Amino acid sequence: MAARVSAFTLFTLWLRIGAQSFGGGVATQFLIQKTFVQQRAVLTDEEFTRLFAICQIAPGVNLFALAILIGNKLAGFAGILAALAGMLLPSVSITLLMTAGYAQFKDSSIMQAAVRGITPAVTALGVVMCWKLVRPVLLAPASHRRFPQVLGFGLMALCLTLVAAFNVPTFAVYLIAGGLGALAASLTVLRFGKE
Amino acid sequence: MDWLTYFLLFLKAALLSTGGFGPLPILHDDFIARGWATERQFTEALGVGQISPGPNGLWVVSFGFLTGGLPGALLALLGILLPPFAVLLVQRAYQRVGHLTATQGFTDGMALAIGGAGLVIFARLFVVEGIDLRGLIIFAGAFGLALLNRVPVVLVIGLAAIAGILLY
Repeated sequence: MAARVSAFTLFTLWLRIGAQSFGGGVATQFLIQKTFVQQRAVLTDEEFTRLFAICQIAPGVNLFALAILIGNKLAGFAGILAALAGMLLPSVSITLLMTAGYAQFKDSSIMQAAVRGITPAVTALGVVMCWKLVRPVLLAPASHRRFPQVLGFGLMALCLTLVAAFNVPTFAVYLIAGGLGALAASLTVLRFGKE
Repeated sequence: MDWLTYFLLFLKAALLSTGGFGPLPILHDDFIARGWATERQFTEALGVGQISPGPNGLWVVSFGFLTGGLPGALLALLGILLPPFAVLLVQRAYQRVGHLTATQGFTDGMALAIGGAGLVIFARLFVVEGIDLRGLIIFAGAFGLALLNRVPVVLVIGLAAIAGILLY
C-alpha cells in the first residue's frame, strides 16, 4: 500500500514542523517522526529508519534530504517542493529574526539563563530520538532481525566507543558500522539459512 | 567580497560534507582565510542554530546573515539547499540493491551507528555547558515529557527556557 498525501496537505504539515521545531535539528527530526509515523501513520517505523539511513550517506543537511525523500514518496516532485517550502518558510524567517535579535541582546543575563535551560532539554530530546532510531533494529521480532540481537547491541556499543574515545569521524563510523552490519547479516543467512 | 565566490563556498562546503554541522570545518577554513568572518560570528551563528526551529544546518543561514546581511543569508541557504537533492540518486542506487540481505544489514548497522554517535554528540553538547543539579533536573523533566509523546516539542523547549531563567 503506497500512502499518498496531497501536496497542499504536505505543505501545511511541514509548515507546522518548520514553525514549531524550536531546538534545532533534534526537535525537527522528532517532529517529523511524530507527524508522519505516529500522527498521520503514512510511514512505518521501519520505513522512517530506512529513509533516514539513506539521508546519512547523501551530501549536505540530512534533514533537507529527508524532507526531499518524504515529499517525493508521498506526493512526487510537487511533494518535494511542498515539503522544502513548508519546512523552510517559517524556520528560515524565525532563524533570521532570532539572529538579528540575538545580536542585540546576547549579553543580557536572561538570554544567557534561557540558553542554559534549553541545553539539557535539547539533550533529552536527542536521547529519546536516538532510541527511536535504533529501536526498530534492536527490538525487532526475531523473524525480522537481520542478525542476532546481541550483535546489534555490540555494534552500537562499538560505534559509541569509536566516536567517544577515539574521535573517529562520524562519517567513517557510519561506513564501518554499515560494513559490519552487512557482514553480520550475510553470515547470519549462511549459518541459519534465514532469508 | 564577491558574491559568486561567496555562494560557491557554501555550495562546496555542503557538497563535501554530510549533516548540519558537517560544513563547519570547511566554511571555517575558507571564511577565516579570506577574512570574511570572525571566530565570534561562527559561535553566534551556531548558538542561534541550536535553538531556532528547523534543521541544525540553518546555522549556516544565520552565519550568512551575520557575514553578508540578507543577500548573504539567501545565498547561503541556496548553497546548502542544492546538494541534498543528490539523495534522490542515492535512493535510486539503494533501491536496486536494497532487497539484498547485505544491504539491509548495511542500513541496520548504519542506523545503530547514527544512534550511537548521536548519543555521544548530545552528551558532549550537555557537558560543554557544564553539568550541575539544575541541568540534570531539567534533563529529567524534558526526558519524561519526550517519552510521554503527548507534549509538543516547542512547549518542552519553552518550559526549559523558563526553568533556565528561574534556576540560573
